[in-house]
Amino acid sequence: MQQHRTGPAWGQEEKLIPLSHTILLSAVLFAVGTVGFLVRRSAVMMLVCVEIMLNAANIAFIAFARHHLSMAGHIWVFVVITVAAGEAAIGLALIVALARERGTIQVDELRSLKG
Amino acid sequence: MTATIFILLAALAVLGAVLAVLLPNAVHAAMALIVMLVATAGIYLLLSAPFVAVIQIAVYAGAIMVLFLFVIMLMNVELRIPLRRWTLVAGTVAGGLFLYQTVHLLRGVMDDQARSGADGFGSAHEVSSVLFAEYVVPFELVSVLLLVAIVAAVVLGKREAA
Amino acid sequence: MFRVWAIPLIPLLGFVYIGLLSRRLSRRAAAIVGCSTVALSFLVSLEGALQLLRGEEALTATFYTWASLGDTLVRLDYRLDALSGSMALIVSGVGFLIHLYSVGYMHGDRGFNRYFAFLNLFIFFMLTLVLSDNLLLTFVGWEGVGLCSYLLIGFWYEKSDPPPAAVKAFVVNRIGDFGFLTAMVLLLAQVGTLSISELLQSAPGAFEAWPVGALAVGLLLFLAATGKSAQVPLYVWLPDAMAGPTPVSALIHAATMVTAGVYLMARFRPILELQPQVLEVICAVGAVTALLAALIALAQRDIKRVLAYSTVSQLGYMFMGVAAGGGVAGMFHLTTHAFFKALLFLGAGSVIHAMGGEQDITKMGGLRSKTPITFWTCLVGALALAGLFPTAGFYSKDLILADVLHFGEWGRILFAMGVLTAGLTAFYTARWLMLIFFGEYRSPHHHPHESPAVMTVPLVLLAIFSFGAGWGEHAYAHFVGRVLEPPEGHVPGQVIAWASGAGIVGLLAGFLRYRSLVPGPGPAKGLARVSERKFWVDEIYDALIVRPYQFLSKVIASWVDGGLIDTALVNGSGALVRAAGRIVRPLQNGQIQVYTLAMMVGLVAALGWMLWS
Repeated sequence: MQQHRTGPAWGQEEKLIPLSHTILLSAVLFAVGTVGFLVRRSAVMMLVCVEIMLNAANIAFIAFARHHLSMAGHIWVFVVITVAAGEAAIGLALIVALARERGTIQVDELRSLKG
Repeated sequence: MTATIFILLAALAVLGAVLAVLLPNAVHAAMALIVMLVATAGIYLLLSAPFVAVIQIAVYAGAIMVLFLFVIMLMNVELRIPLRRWTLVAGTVAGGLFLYQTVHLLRGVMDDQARSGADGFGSAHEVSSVLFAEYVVPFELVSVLLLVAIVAAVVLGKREAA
Repeated sequence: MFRVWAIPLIPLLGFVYIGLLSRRLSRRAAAIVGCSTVALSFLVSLEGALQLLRGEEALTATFYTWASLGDTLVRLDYRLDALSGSMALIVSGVGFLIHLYSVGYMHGDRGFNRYFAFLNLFIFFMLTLVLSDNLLLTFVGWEGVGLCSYLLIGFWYEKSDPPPAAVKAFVVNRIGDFGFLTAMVLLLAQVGTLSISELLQSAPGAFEAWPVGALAVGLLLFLAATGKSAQVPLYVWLPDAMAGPTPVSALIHAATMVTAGVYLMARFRPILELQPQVLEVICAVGAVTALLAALIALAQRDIKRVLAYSTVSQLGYMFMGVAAGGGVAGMFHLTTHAFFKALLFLGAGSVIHAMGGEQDITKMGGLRSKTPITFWTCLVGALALAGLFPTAGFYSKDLILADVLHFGEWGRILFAMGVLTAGLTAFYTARWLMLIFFGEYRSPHHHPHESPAVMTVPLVLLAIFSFGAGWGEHAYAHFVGRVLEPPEGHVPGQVIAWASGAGIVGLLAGFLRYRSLVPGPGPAKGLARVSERKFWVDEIYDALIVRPYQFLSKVIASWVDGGLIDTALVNGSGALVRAAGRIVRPLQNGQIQVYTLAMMVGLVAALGWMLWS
């Protein structure tokens, strides 16, 4: 390719990754995270699965940002990462409190909020 | 070349995610998750988002995962909680159906026409000029959110004074 | 940069300060803050008025945009022009004097700080009402002064009279407010804006094709004015409003708030003029009110009720003056009336203060020598009220009568009513003066004493204005004539002769009749009884409106509210929800992952519907 670039982006050197590939990856990761959220019985692991889903969304953001050459996607990724950090901090604090109060973090045993 | 790297990284990410979901030991699962996060950071690099990639490694793979590992290892809870068969089946069926539908839905509308990037797209300079000009208010809101989260975590984690 | 909104805002700050610190603030501090904020407002208004004199047409300022409904912007616009500026000067100037007087009058009252907070709040709302350039903001001021009136009439809420009087004032005003709101909606629908200056410009064009709409708007606005300014048929609240502290009667129920209706009419004259019948209705109602209230005032025994009916009567005069001719006459009478009626009320307050709370004028007498300053100032006020040359009342009353004489087909009849009212006014004024200040001192107990300087100084200042304000007639007409149409030429000699003649005859008759005669206790006889019982208007309203309304309310309360709404709708829907809850409650099993699975099923179903439907 004859174009001159100063940016470090690798992807521009040969050919660009098709958008459909990245979105497919995003969808797969999201589905895996969802399944994990549904099947894991430990609260900590459910949080881990939420992180997987958030990551999947981030990949979609970045892919579309690249596709449309708009920085907005990057900004929202920052927001998502920040929210993820907050969510992890509060979630884990809740889990610590749960373990202290109830002696377990197994979600199918925590069912006192039933109708 | 790029495509090969992408496919490798993508495979690594999916593998990490699947392992994180399936490994019974929580510490192992967290490790698998780190693999996934790092692979994602590589994909960001390929997508001309070097700054986000750095943040991904520093904040996600670094700070957040360390927090997870701390809680997992410091807390005196059972690490292995086996999966139940019926939830595994139900979850997989639901997730699989969802994935199938998503792919089906996206296939028709996806525009694969690639565009070459502008100079410096995704660099720290570009990110900051957008973040602190157009998106100042969301930025400030997010920082308030973070502060609230910190306070909440401290309050929740504190032992009640008897 | 001159900021018009500073004028109302300063008293608001005073209200917030005194109101918030009410319990901790010393009385001295409350008095200082209360008076100085109003004085500051007056100075700012004066500065604005001077700028107008230097040639500015109007000073405007947007405080902020309150709401934008589609294309309709509701902006908190303030606008100081010749009309609103002169009103603002009266409100803040007379308001300041009354604040000062209140320091002495309310001395020792438990609610001293609360009183000054309310008074400042009132000044804020009144100035907002006057200076606003947006009809909705005007309405805020309109309702706000109503609220303050309610609060201050019921100021001594532990007594038996004030609370019902306050409620009466509020409820009667509601009827007028209905007119205001409806007119506002009509204007918004037809003209498409609430900005007053835009309304006045584009309303004539907008209503060209719909004259009935212009008629409706005019009459509805006038309905609002009859409520606030105590005209027939809604005047009944004002005499009862005398249950509040006397300075409040002077400020709110004589000088400022009750004149808001007159001001509204003057402001909206370009719209009222679209349908000449509206002006005729206003003038006729004003004349009827003036006459009726003057007749009632003849036999009242309460020192303040006489003045209250007199205020109603003079407000009728103002409406006549604002509808006939160009409107300047009514506004000028508003100004002079603000001076002399505030003076008379404050004088009455000084008398009540001297008598230790006695309000029955048949039990007073001979106070001339005991309270000389009060006497002399009240004499000036009374002569102004009677319209005697060369006091202020003489000029403004003649201006009105001159306009009325040439107004429409009924001009001569209305003029005759006006002259008759002038005579009656002079008569009851003389009666009031004679019974209070002349003759023997008739109250066995209590030694009356003159009021302190903080009360007499405002009296003297107001007396000076009541005496001399009339000489500014031409300057005023020229100034306000920028907004309204200035009157043409001089007052004809014939009018002066009739009006002054009626006044002098009335005064003389009053002096002669009450020189030695004091109405005895017990009900009056004959025609005087009709006047004393106020033509039984309150009783008629009670029988025609209040009782049927109460009956209807009871029926609705027991049948509609108790039976239909409470039992069937409220409790019924509650029972329904409960039953439904009992059925679906087991679904909520506390398992978070089951909930998530349900979400996923829903998501898959929704996606499937999108894909294959």
